Amino acid sequence: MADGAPFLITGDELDPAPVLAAVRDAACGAVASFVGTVRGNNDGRGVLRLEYEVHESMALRQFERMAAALTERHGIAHFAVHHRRGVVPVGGIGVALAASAPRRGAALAACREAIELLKKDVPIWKKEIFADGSHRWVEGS
Amino acid sequence: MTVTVRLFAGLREAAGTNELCVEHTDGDVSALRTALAEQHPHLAERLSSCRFAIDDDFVGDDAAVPADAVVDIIPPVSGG
Repeated sequence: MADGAPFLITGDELDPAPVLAAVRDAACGAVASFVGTVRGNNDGRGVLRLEYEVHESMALRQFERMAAALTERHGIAHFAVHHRRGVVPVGGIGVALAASAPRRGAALAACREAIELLKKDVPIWKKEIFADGSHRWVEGS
Repeated sequence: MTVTVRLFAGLREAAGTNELCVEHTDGDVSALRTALAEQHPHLAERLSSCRFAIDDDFVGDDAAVPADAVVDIIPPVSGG
């Protein structure tokens, strides 16, 4: 069985290594992962940083539901996702997720679907802080 | 009855508060959505794009709203 917390919302800097460790399994020949980082511009405007707001109890429940759906659809062995709350500077990691499976096809497909599900159904919002001091809540992405 | 709704992100900022009380006479989410828009008209347009959740799960417009429910209003999400 894999080590470490599979689902985490944290105000600390994210490290992909524990996410990968959380899905490692001797029965699996593949670990696929996705890491989302903060881009320094959006729609032609300079972004200074992001601030993530999270409905934590519901987000963690949604992560569990995602894991169940991905396991059902792709036959993966394990799924893990760690997401930031609070301020993340440009270049920082906002999300790290990983899936393991006996073979690579399932692990890669599950990761691809996981980030799309997260951006649709998990109650997390990003606020972009621009270079001119203004800000904007991003709705839908 | 009075229902407590919790607000997040852009909707929270537009309302200037994390929580609102809504006078709500009928029992489903659709009626709550209508009551909320009538009692807070400046939020009506934003509300139309929001989903509702009870007990950490999304609920449809025909779901019942229990008398003691805390209802979360979920604007379009943008995690990742």
